[in-house]
Amino acid sequence: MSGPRRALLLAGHGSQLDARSGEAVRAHARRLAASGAFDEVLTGFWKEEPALARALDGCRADDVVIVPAFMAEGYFVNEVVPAELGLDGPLTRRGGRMLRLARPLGAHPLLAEAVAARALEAGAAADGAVFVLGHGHPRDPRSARAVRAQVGRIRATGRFARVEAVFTDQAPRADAIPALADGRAATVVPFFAAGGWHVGRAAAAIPANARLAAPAGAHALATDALAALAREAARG
Amino acid sequence: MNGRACEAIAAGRAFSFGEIDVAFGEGRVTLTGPRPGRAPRTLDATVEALRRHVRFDDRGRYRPLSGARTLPGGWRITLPARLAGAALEAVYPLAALHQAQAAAGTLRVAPFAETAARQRGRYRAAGELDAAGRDLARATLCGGCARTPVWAGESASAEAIPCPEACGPLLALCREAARWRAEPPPPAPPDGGVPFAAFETPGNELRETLLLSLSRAPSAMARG
Ligand code: SF4
Repeated sequence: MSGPRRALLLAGHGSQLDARSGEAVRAHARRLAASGAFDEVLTGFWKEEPALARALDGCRADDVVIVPAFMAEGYFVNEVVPAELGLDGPLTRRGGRMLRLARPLGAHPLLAEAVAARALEAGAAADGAVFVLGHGHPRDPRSARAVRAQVGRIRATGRFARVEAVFTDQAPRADAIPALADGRAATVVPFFAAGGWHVGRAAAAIPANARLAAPAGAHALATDALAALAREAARG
Repeated sequence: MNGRACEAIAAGRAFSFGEIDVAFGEGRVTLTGPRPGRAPRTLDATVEALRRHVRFDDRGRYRPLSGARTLPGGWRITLPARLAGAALEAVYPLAALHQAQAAAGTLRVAPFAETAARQRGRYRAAGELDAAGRDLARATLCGGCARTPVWAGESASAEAIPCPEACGPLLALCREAARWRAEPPPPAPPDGGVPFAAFETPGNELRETLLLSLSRAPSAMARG
């Protein structure tokens, strides 16, 4: 006898202006679909197709886990995603279906591993300084909190001489990197879910002699983090 | 699943869908893009190659609106017939499903007011655009789209692709139009190099078309 059909929906930002924005989420979805852990793996975007509000139109599962491919709790995870999907909270029962909203990608400890892996890919050495570049928000501390939590985890491994958080939208910003690096070679890892406009803007702001890594949220370890967050939400 | 596209796929029968033609033979499906010419380029035989190809128009501009009649021309792709549905999905996400749901009477249609009420932050302004302005925005964007906006009351034939809900680019255009109603910006010459959905950028083709339409049809409020 087969159990209830289970679906995973990755909720991403996407963009109407930048073709790269949704690609990481699609790559995660392809890897998760290949893993066979879910009967259906779907994607839905706020600013791309398929639209979040329509992502479940063809879904036949009784149990759906929605994992926001966002780096922190905040406006998108707490307002946009629930509004677009008509969610009541972490658990929504609708038409005989259970919809479970997981924690966002950036909250999972595996993202610290993804940041470290990105830094090493970009050439960071043990005696170097790694900067985790997050979005931040001048009035909402949740974005910075998620970045600092991952910075704490990487520091605890002792892999790099220095690990610091910098932000695009709050202090300390990328222009603080030379002072914070204190003469060490600097590697900047964008704590973003995907490449695109934000990462491009961040790249323009970092010092010329700093290495820029690929975004942590697009790493294959982030796929594992999404799967773990889905399992966590499925357990309830 | 019923719906013309799904039925044709199940029967292995040729059909047209939006801007593409679909044909079957020897266990394979061939999708042909617009303006194939004598020797259309053959894409790599994967659904992902197709999806990536149709993300950009002939000028290399990103296509955030899958239904926009701006598919690149001169290509074809042949895949195992079992991938026909996935290939359609790569070009027109959810379109075959919505067509089938419309045929079955189960398509969930959301009126504009419902979609606008759900918007957050700066997209809330989309709902503030007057009805005449919204009609002009719809004519500007949906007029060049392969989907039929049934959410606006238009009827869709069985072959058409029904659109059940105002899309993101339309909401973005309505948001800008609501601002333009209050303070109309000067027109600029249309510039095909401006991104498709960069409605805030002077020269954006849809922006300039809509600005002209709005100037000819002042809102009821503006007329006093
Ligand atoms: S709202 Fe209009 S432009 Fe947008 S997808 Fe529907 S029909 Fe196309």
